[in-house]
Amino acid sequence: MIRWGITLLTLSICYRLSRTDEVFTTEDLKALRNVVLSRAGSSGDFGASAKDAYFGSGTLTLLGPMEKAQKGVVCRVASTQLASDAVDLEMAYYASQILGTAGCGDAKAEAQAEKVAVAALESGVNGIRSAYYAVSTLAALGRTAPAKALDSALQLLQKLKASKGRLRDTPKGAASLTATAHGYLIAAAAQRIGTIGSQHLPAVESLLSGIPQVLETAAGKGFLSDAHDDALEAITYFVQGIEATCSDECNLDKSQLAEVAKLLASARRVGSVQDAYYVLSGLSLLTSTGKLPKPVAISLLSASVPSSSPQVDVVVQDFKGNPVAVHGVEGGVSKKTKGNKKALTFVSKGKGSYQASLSGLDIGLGTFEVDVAAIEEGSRAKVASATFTVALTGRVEVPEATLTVKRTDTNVVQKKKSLSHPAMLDKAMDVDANSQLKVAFTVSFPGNAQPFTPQQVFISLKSRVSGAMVLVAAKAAQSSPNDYTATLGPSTIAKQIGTQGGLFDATLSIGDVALAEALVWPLGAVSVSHAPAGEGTAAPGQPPPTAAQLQSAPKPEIQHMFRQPDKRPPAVVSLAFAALSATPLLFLAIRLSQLGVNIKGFPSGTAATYALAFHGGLASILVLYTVFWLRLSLIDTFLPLAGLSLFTFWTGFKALSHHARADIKKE
Amino acid sequence: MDSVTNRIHDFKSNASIIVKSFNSEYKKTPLRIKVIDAFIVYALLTAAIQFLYMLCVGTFPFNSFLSGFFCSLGFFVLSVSLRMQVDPSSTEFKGLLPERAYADFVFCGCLLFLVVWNFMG
Repeated sequence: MIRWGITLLTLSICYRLSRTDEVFTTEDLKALRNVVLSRAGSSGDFGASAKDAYFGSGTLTLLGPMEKAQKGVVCRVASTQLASDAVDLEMAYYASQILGTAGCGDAKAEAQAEKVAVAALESGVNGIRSAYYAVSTLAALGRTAPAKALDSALQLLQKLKASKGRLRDTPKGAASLTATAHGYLIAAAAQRIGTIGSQHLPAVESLLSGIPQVLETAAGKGFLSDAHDDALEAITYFVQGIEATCSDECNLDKSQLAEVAKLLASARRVGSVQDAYYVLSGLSLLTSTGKLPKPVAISLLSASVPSSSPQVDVVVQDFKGNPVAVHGVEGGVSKKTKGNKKALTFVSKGKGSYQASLSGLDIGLGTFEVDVAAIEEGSRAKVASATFTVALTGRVEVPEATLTVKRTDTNVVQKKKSLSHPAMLDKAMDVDANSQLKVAFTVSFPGNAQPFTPQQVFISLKSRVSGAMVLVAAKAAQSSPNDYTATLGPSTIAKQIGTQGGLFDATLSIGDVALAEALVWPLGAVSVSHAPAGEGTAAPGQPPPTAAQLQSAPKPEIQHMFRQPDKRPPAVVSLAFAALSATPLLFLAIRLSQLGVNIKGFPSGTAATYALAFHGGLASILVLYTVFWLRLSLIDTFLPLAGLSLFTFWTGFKALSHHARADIKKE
Repeated sequence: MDSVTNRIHDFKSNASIIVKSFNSEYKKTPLRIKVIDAFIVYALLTAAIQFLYMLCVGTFPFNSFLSGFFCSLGFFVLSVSLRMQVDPSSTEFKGLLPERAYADFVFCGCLLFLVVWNFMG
């Protein structure tokens, strides 16, 4: 059943043919709105951080005008953050952006943000990001900055001037692009909040004149990719930067700008509000404002083209899905595996829609690669290009099939039956151990003049008893590629499912990605009987186990390798040595008795008490050691040991002091 | 041949003189020191028997063998230290009370046994 299911699946499901997935749709916008609202709820509460509130409110603004309540929430966050004692430059930047864009009207908070930004500029900013924060804070609040304060920020542009398109400012590509983009934004903001000194003008001009080179590096050479964590931030700042500084469309290449837009659009399935802001902000600037050339993308309407109406339809759109009229669309088509490209002529079918016919190209059924490029009005430059895989699909027909049962030894035909599609056998055909069933048929593909070989042409036999299935691929004749033959008998069945006999349902199936519909023709019943298991013949074989049976079958026992036990001596030897090691104790006892050791010198009176307690303490310690050895852990032993040690120490000190004093007195 | 016999005879007489003089001198040793000596010999004998077991049978279980052997040696070392400190003829530890030396010995002994019992397994 599983095999049958897999076969049907491959027959019925065509390959996933590539369609462009570059353009932002209304569904994508809904998904982004859901991401934002899932974080904040409809009230717009993004938490107490000014940074989170900035990205949240920015995204909501880009998705549509913010509600009054939402504005109130983010304004409160900005004011609260600026009122705190520990306001840093980054916090002031995000809070000021909120104050500026949401129109909060909190003069006190604005003054605090201005104070932080001016203080940062006057003390000398130490990084391009800090400079950007300081200058942008003042610009968002509509304040001005003295030329001297701006100097420290503008001096940093000298560094970027040297990188000019090579983005050397930082070792990482995305961070490097962010730094360069911050440079553009500093230059733009500096013009708004003050005057750029003449000493800085060459650096600013040089930086801005390098924008096309930076774009080429970033877009053309795969400088940025989704693999970079900061790529979204970098691209968005770059788009913001060029939008803020460019005039006369910056002489930017639209196809390169399209690469940047593609990167942004490809990241639209975001997981965070910050990323949602970056994607929306970048794409909005590329599609809405008049300052930047609007990049376009080409979409394929359908990847499956019927041979009865062989037309390829494409749409030229901007990255928000709006159709864009261009001068024209040109393209070519080629077989996927072989080159030999044939030109396609696209005809305009309304605003942004173009159609090319494949008829007359003599390309036959199958999958093809279609290259398409959009040509801009005026400059006649290619502004977008794409390659699609397109399937030219047709119908398959098998008008007739012939089923023949032949003896395998004499080749004598026992039974022959011809069927016209979709007729079935009226009576089961008998196939025994000495005969074979041959199915012959001719396929045709109406409307296709080119040779075409379907990927799957086979006969299946399904047991009515067990449901087990036998598959036999049909072979095409060499001289006539559309004539197929499939031969099967009891031996074929035995190889695949064991010696299962009885009635089988025979089916002819033909499928291919270039066929609009698979052909499935039930041919009728076939009665199969295997050789009887007599003397000297092998017993009927069991059908091979299915995948499910194999999975649930017992696994081979795992033999664990244990460490080999050490060689041990006989118990008697160990016992003998145990007794032997006790003999020195005997020696000690004898020797001590020889020496006349006794306890006559044991102190009396108070000293005796101390001496007894001291010896009792020592004995207790030894008993504790024994208990430790038998059951206690080291940590558990330490506490009672400490107590006993203190007791023994004190009593020992007292007993030995008495003893020492007695000795001294005696002397 | 005669010279070898003479040499053996000389060795025997010299050894006899050495043993006799050792015995006569050792009799003068205080009883306290003799008791410590008995303990020293006891420790050495115990270590020697364990070493013999190791040579004849093997070291399994190794940690028990090591702890037993080094316990005997440790006890021997501590006893020798005690003997050096309480020996009245020793000038090196003059002024050190024997009770103090004994207290040190007891303390070190307790520590040694704790380590040995922990390691014994």
